[in-house]
Amino acid sequence: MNNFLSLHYFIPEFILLLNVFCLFFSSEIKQRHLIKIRQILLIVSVVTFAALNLIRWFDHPCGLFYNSFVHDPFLNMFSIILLCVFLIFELPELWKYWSSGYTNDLLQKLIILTASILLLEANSTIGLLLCIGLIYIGNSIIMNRFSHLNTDNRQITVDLTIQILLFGLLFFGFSIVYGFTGSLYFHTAQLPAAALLESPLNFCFLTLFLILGLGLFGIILPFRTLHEDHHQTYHVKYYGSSYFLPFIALFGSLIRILNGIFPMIRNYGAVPGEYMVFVIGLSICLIAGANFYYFKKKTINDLFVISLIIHYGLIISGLAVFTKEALTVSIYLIISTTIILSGIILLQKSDKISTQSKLIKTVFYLGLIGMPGTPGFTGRFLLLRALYNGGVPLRLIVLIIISILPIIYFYTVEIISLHRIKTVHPGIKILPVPAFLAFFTILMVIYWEPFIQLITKSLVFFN
Amino acid sequence: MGNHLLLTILGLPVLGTFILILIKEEKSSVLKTISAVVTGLQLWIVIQLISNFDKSAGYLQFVEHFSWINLLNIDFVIGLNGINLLFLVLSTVIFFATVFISWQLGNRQKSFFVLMMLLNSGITGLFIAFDLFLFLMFYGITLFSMFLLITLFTSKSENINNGYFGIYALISFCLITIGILVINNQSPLSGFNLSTLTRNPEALMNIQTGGFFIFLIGFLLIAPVVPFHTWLVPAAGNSIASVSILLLALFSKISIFGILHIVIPLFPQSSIQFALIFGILGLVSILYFAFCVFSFPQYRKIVIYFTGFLNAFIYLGLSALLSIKHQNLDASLTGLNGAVIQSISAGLLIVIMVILPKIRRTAQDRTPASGSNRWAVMFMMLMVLLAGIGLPGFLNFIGQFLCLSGAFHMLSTRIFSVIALLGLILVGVQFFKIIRSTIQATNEFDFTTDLSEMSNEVIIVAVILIALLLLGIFPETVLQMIDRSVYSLIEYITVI
Repeated sequence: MNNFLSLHYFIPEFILLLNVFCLFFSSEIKQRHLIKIRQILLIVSVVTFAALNLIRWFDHPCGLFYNSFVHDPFLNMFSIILLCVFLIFELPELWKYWSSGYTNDLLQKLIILTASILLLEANSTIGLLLCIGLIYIGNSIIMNRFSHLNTDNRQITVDLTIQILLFGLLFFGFSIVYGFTGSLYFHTAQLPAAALLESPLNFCFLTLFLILGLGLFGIILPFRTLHEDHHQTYHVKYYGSSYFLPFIALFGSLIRILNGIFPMIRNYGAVPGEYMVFVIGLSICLIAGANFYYFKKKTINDLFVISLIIHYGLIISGLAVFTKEALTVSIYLIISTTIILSGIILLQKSDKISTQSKLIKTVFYLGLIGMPGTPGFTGRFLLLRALYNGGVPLRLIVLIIISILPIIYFYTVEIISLHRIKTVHPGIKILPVPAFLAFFTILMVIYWEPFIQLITKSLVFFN
Repeated sequence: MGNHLLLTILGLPVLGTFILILIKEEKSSVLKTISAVVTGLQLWIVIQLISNFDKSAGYLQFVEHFSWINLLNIDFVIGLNGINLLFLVLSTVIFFATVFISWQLGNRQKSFFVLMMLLNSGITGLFIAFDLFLFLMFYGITLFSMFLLITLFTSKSENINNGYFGIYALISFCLITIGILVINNQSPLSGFNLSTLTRNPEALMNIQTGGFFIFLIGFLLIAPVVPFHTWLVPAAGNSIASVSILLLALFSKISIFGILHIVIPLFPQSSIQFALIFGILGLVSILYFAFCVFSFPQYRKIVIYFTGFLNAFIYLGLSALLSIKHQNLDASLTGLNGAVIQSISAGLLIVIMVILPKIRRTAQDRTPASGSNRWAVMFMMLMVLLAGIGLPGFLNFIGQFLCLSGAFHMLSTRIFSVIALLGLILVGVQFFKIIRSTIQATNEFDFTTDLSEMSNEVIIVAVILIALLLLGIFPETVLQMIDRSVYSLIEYITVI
């Protein structure tokens, strides 16, 4: 349905928005009972949001609100993923909020969570650009508000410039879409198949702007958030949710847009060779570039940054064939990468290393290496299989494999140095969230098939 | 457990790894005891497997088949034929021996035993896996745990040298992955199940040459074979003795297992067509390694090159596949039987060769307390060296003889067998020099090596030596075990 009656599908997002407004307008409230009500409202909202998404996920309902926002199982899945990522990083904040009612830190992140979910719902160019704008603004506030030691305006200027640049790229990309199709709505903005077949370069040109516009955020931001300078000034894990939430949402949105505007891929199940080579080339360049960057700067934070970029490059390569199998694996890989890197970031601040954290770190590092028995191996193997079965030539597959070899070597070296550090036993507490994440990565391998099936079932778009 | 022997033998080291991870580093005796119990139980299961193994059957036995990932047609299939069984015996014996050899290991005992148990899981799984995806998983675990063992347990600080092994292993893993992807793409309905794939040989007809070379190079990269051997000396030369044993005696056999288990059954046409490559690789390696053994005065290096020398005979034995072209199945059977026996005997022989300097030290110990046993130990040492030369009566002789004999049947490889004898002479001369140096107690050879972690070496050497001798005198015991499986393999290739 595509009218006012479909509004009830969007109740979970309204609940989150309600909380954002509630937190914003009630930040000056001092009365204890009102603070308590606000706290209960937030907890109930989060639980309701998760429950509604879970229930509707398996019912497979689809709704479109006047062409602007879409609700389908694809959104349900990503909403749950985003909520989980939010909870991974913000559990301490939520606890602080529950015990003291302190709200300032939480508000910005809740805005980013809501904006990320709305971004995944956006079915029109205007809605999408608005959501991205909201994310960028929220992100800039967080980055500059809390890097309190950095008092000059240079950093603010650089961050804003980057985000405006990305915004410009996207704007240009969507102008091209509009020029081709005459529609601002993704489900009707279908590029004419004949035109695409005649000139596959249109594919490449358009994809370049979309991938760069939506993807550069995931590539550039780690340098701003996880880089050493920031790491020294503020706890790196603080930035986790403000980075990972948009990173995942932008990728989900990219899938939705491409699925909408490239009907030829969906309907005919074939992609032009030029487009395929272009996307694979883009991802190889990204991976190779990240590896070269690490050759120059060899700090552990740089390694985390390049791992993010390299995995993003791998994930993008799934778009080259755009088959259901490839998209499923790309999503599996983005989930596993997020979990592993979140775990590493949460562990990163410990100066001393205990036996437990050494073990957990080893599990995460093995995952990034792609050791058999970890989601890293499963994801990469399935992705390569999907690409090969989707028609990507073997030489390109070999190039992808070669491009990821350096990161395997880098992390192997890290594991060796990790095991040469002497462990400390007393005074180190067990970290429950990283331990749970390490356990979850193992679960992702053991229950690999149900995971993949769940993602495959969720790849249902509003048509 | 009786019905699930293979699952148990695979599950034990996996479980052992997790248990060892949970134990504190300070409790070294617990770590060692658990490792000994796990490997001991594995050895007991292997004995059960041998006694229950039907030698007259060429088919898979003790099969465990579960549907694993239906979505991708991936099954959990493990089983045993005669060839796999012998490799499994080799791995179990070596792991059991290594635990006792490493009893006095000083630093990082926990890391060593955890990694060794992980390697045990990988290699055990590798030797019994009959699904390509499962094989790939265990292959990756094996390569990675071996790399960590080499790097973490080096006796020198020159870790950069171990990078060679890492790079070779990485490329090998990538090539095998690519090969498996190609096979799956060609025959998607068969999935990854090796038995199903071999039942539909037509599906892989288009990729016979390409697939053969991808897998062959993938496996050769981790084999001590010229020209892929450059990782061998840095990796084995700098590691502690226990790691050297695992690397030289066991890990170096994975490539030949891969060729017998995957390359020949999946790419039979190319295996016959390019069988001469095996012969050339074997001959070049025999001559190169024999010359190295002859030229170096350091015992450690001699053992490393001697590993390559022994392995080279296996490839010479594989060249007997060429005779299938001329319907000479007996020659192929001889060559392949020789290759399998040489793999096992070389593995066992290398274990005792690595331990030899410690035996020598015991033999030269002139304290009154050890005086009574000195001559017994000296005799044992001489026997080890004679077994190394290939003295008739030892299993090593049978292996080498069958390999040479298999290659000798074909006119094109006959000359290889003759030239290979030159290598045997070179090695023989060097070994006689070592024997002379030992008897005369001269310093002609440098036996210096770090053996501080070694213990129980005399018992281990004695047991392995007796086993090699008994099997050498009664080779039928081993031959009967593998004969049917090797014959089935040759029959299959011939039909294709």
